[in-house]
Amino acid sequence: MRIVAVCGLGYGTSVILKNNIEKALRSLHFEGATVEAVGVAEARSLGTLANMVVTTEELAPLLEGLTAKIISIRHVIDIDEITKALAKVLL
Amino acid sequence: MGAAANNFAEAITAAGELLVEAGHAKPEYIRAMIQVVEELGPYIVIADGIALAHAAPGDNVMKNSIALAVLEKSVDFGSGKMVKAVFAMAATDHDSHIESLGDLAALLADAQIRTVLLTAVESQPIELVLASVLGE
Repeated sequence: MRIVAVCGLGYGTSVILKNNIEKALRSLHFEGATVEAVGVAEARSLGTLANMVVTTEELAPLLEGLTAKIISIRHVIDIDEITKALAKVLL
Repeated sequence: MGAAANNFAEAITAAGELLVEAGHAKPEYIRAMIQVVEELGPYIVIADGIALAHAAPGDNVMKNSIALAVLEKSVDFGSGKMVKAVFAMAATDHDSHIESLGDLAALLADAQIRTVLLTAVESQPIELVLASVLGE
């Protein structure tokens, strides 16, 4: 399972998102996933390789058309929101 | 604390000027942070009332740094996402800031800390809860 956390630039918001996805996966006891933080442009090229793209609600429309499952999050700081969204898809 | 801003560009400028005044970033970096929101929308609003402004790391940054401006009143960052506290983050390269960013995220994940940040009427309580990331 390859998960990419996407923000505009791939180094600020997406790093927070990546950390929180990793925390969420641990709390769900979901193993065997890698999480990368990338920017929108990179996500477009990676999108075919990744299994899942997690991003913010503003950026999700920019990623339409990717084969990966897209999950959009309102607040990247909100681990509960991220955990619930991942649980819905993974469990 | 109590920075006056009428729109998201002025709000980002208020936080960005702290980086510039400290000698940690060039004025061009402020413009770049504003441009990110103009182009990609308010995705930098990482929690209710809290934005993490940043632009690409590199030339316009002299030192890894995070500054905070708490606005006099909230401003709309787009789509009705109102922001009272603006962090401006600057990094010299892609990887070196990750630790301090993680520390900030861990603090802001705490609802009580967010409440202090959004309701404090003076800067001291905010400085106390965020001392480890704001530094200097």
